[in-house]
Amino acid sequence: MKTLIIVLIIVSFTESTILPIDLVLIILIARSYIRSDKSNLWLAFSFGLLSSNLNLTALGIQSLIYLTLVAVSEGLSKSRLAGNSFLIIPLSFVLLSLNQLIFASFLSESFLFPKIVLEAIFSLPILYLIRLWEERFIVQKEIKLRV
Amino acid sequence: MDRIIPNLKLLLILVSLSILILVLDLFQILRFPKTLLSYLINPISFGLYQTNQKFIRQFHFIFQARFAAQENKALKEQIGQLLSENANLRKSLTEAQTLVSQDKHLDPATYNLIPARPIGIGRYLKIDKGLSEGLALGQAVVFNDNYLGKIVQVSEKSAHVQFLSDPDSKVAAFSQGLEGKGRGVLIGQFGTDILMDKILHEEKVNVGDLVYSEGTEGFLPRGLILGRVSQVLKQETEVFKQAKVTPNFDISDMELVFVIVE
Repeated sequence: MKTLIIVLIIVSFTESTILPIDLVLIILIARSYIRSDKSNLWLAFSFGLLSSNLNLTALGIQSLIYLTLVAVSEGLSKSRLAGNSFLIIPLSFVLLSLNQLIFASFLSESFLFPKIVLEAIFSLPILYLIRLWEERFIVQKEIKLRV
Repeated sequence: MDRIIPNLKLLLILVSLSILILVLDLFQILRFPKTLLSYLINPISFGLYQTNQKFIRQFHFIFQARFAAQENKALKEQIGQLLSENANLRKSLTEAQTLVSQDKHLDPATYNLIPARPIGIGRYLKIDKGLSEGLALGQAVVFNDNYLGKIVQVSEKSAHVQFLSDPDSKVAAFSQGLEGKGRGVLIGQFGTDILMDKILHEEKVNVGDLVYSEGTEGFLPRGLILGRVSQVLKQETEVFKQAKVTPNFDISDMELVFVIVE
């Protein structure tokens, strides 16, 4: 978890200074798609606040959006289709479009369609990286077998 | 409901908290903590940005070097094209100057001149005009008011000009100097020299005298310059004296010559 938080902090700063891609949201969506956990909501809330502050938007607005999108992603991860990793691309596309749409309407920004497509494509390798990290490097709780 | 949306309770709490923060921020209540936070965030953002800029600058050199190589290649090609264009323009200019100069010397109203480019030189001078342009055997070829030779072979699009120095060339000529005139016949010598022969001893011929055409051949107008006397060969035992004549122009320097058609 500590590593993920550090990565998210770095990514938050990166997306506000160098690379204008919603990497934080993509990571959050990908993680909530892989693993349903309370920590996803906390991460969405806190990094929504940080992103709001870094991107000079009203505090709380990005937390709200992130929380909603993470909740939707977690909900969809329980469906039968979620076994297919490639579903992350259309899912990210829809969720990122929603995010962009809300921002576009709220901040009177233009809707950047190519950016959404690029981000949606990025979501697949990010999903694989997070899955690799979560499965190989995160120690899971011991499974207690009922005897 | 909790099955569809996991951790619903926490979600609702965090959503409420977000709305509260949003409202507080909209009313500028969170200005102070935001200002405090900016003291921490801004240097990090600045450092990250600067690092990125330095990184880009380093890599920009590599891209720039590659681009410079391409640009260099393109510029070299452009220079080559420009040099070629310049050479063509210079050639055209020289030709135009030659045409103007020719008009000054031989009146176009009197002589019908056809300009021709030398395209080869051996025993004869090859020019790029032929029968299709109205050239015929025996026509005189001039440059300014200097006689160069006559056409001895002609095809549809080219012709051969026989020089005065050709062994088969014979032209009636006279020399004109300050002391007087000397009449004779210009005969080619081995393709290199021109000899003025059959000059009577009493006629005055000196080095530096200009030699003109007599115009008795028919194809050649009278008064064209044939050359300049470079040496007088006088032997008392001979009936006639002789003189070596040098052409005024080197044919290899000429861009354009003119054929007198009429």
